[in-house]
Amino acid sequence: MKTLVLKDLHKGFGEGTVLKGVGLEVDRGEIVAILGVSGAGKSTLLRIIAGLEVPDQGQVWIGGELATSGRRLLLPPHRRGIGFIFQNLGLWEHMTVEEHLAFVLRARSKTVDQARIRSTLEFLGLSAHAKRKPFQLSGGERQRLALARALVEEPELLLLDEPFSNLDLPRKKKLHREFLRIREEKHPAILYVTHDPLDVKLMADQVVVLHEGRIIQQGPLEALLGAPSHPIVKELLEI
Amino acid sequence: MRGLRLGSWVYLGLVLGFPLAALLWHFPEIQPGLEAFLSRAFRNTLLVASGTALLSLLIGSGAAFVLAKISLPGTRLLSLLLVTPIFFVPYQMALAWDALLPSGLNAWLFSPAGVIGVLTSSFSPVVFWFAWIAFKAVPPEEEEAGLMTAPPGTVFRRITLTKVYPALLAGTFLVFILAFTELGVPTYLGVPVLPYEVLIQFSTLYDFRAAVAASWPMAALGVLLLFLEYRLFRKSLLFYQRAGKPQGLIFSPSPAVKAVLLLSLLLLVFVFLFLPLSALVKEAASFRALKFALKNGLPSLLRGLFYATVAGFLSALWALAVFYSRKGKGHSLMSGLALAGLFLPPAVLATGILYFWNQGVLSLLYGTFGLLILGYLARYSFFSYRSLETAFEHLDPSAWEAALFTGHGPLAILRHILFPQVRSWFFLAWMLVFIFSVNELGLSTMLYPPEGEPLVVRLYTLSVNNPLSHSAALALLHSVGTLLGVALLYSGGFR
Ligand SMILES: Nc1ncnc2c1ncn2[C@@H]1O[C@H](COP(=O)(O)OP(=O)(O)O)[C@@H](O)[C@H]1O
Ligand SMILES: [Mg+2]
Repeated sequence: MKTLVLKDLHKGFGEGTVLKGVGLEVDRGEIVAILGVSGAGKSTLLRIIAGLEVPDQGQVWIGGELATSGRRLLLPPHRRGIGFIFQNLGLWEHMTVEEHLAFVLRARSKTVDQARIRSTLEFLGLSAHAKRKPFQLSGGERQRLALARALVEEPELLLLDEPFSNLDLPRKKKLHREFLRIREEKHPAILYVTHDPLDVKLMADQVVVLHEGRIIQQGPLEALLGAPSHPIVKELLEI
Repeated sequence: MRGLRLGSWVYLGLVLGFPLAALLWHFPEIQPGLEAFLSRAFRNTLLVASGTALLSLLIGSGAAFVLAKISLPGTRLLSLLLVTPIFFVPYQMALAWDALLPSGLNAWLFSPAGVIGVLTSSFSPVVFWFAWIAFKAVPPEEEEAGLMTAPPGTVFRRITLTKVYPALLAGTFLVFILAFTELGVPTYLGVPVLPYEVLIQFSTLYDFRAAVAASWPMAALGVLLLFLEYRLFRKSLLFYQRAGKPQGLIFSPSPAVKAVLLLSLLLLVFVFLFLPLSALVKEAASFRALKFALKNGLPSLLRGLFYATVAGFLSALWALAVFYSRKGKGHSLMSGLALAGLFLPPAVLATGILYFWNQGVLSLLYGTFGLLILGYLARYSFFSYRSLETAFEHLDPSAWEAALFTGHGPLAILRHILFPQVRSWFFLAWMLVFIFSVNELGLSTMLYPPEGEPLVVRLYTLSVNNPLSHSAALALLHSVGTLLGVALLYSGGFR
């Protein structure tokens, strides 16, 4: 069973059409990079998968369950088993690091599994900052808090909207390694948006190129570089 | 810079510090009327103020949430219509409802419940305004991140509400104060309240001491509230910067629920605005009434607009000076004093002002409109203080610092670099003080100069022994004047 299946998604805002029939399948444990010029509709696509937005037409299947059908939201965001990392993180500025994780866990059960919080913080090197609020964290720590919040529930699917932009190279490489480790240990499917060919080279199994509302090419990096179907594919992927 | 700093302290001293000191100085000769604490008037005042505050909180914040967070058609127009009642003197609303309700229902209107209803229609826009800005300032991403793990109800309680509640409380507090010090509406509707008792002692019995004694419970409560505000809500910014457009499906009820919400908002606008306004128009729409209003009201309308314009300008200027010369110490003392002016009952303020300006050379001002303007400044300078404070918080310091390298003097920098950047806040301050001053009845009745009463006062005195149609025409005249003034200031500040 596929972790995620998208069928013929269409979406417009007012006048313009952003998505014009997008289909995609992602397996468990698979890492997929989405590329496209800015304004191509990458964020919109992730938001539709997460259930934060509905398409005008098309379907979203998550773990074999029909989650969105046309404009109908059949499964609300919090019941989709998705971890989402927003481009600007969307940390809860009024909560401490551990309150972030506790809030996520409490939404599921009455008792909060403290051991789970501790191990997640440990996993991401945030244990020393458990009592701090976001504004007391450095840029990299904020990024890891967003990651911890998305991971504490062990989601089947991780959606990352440009998680690597605004990071220096060492930190970027470290984050790449973290994602690969997460994949080894917990096997979620990971779908991420990026602009940087380096991100693709270092951690993607599959590349999806979104252009003018459609997926114009899809496959492993080497395949795309070997036989680009459109000049823009080369532009986006070549260093 | 030194001069500016000194000047802004002198301003505050003359406007608030010395009058309040004079009040304390005369403390021994004033018998605190303890019985007033227990009197019916005091209980009525409390009842009216807390009822109005609670109802305004419910209605204002509910409407603000819907308009700020749920995508509905016509939200801009609806928001504008919902804040509009703040432009009218509450007293007008009482007149309008009196004209509107059949005599059978009038018993309900002429009671504390009626006072609460009328005041809520006038003051809930304050809570609405605070809440709307606060809801807008909650970043949608934080709520969406919440939606990924919890249902909308939980997200609302734990994220949205947690962030906006200081603003909601601050707005509610302000409404409490406004209702607590309201004179016109309860008087018209025959509900005895403290501000009325104080006024009676003053103007009918000329009993200075009794008046101050009757205002002690109000002063005591004012100080208590001041303390509470200071302890609890000092951190809550009165003015937030706008942020974030409503996005995606954050709080997206079904179309049926949306329709119900939209209808309730329309109903609110209908009841709070269109119904009373149309009643006034209907009453006033006779040649005789209009003639009466123009003949009796025009000079005092112009006077009132003039007083309020001057007060608004002076207080905005003062706040600009305060923050332009901001290196000085004592900002918390300054904001505390300015806040005291807002929170103390007008009767107390007026008494202090009368005491202080009634001695020696100072009495040159006594009996002129200067005293009235001082009263407005004392009560409403807090608004301009907070507006300019916000303006300077949002200023990019590097633009200012870059200007310092040019070698221009401080005044040139103020004029060419700084003022253009804080201009809209300056006019917002001017506008706020203008609106509240032009509608201020409590201070005006006690401080207006002979032959120089503003229209609020005239409206109040003339409605006693004139037909309703005449008062309605005067009330409309007042609104038209106020709206014109606001429109002028708005076009000055936000062009
Ligand atoms: N809520 C919205 N309302 C109107 N237009 C939107 C909205 N969200 C996105 N868009 C438009 O859709 C297009 C795609 O946006 P987005 O998905 O954010 O692109 P990307 O993430 O690929 O840069 C853009 O032209 C953007 O302006
Ligand atoms: Mg994007």
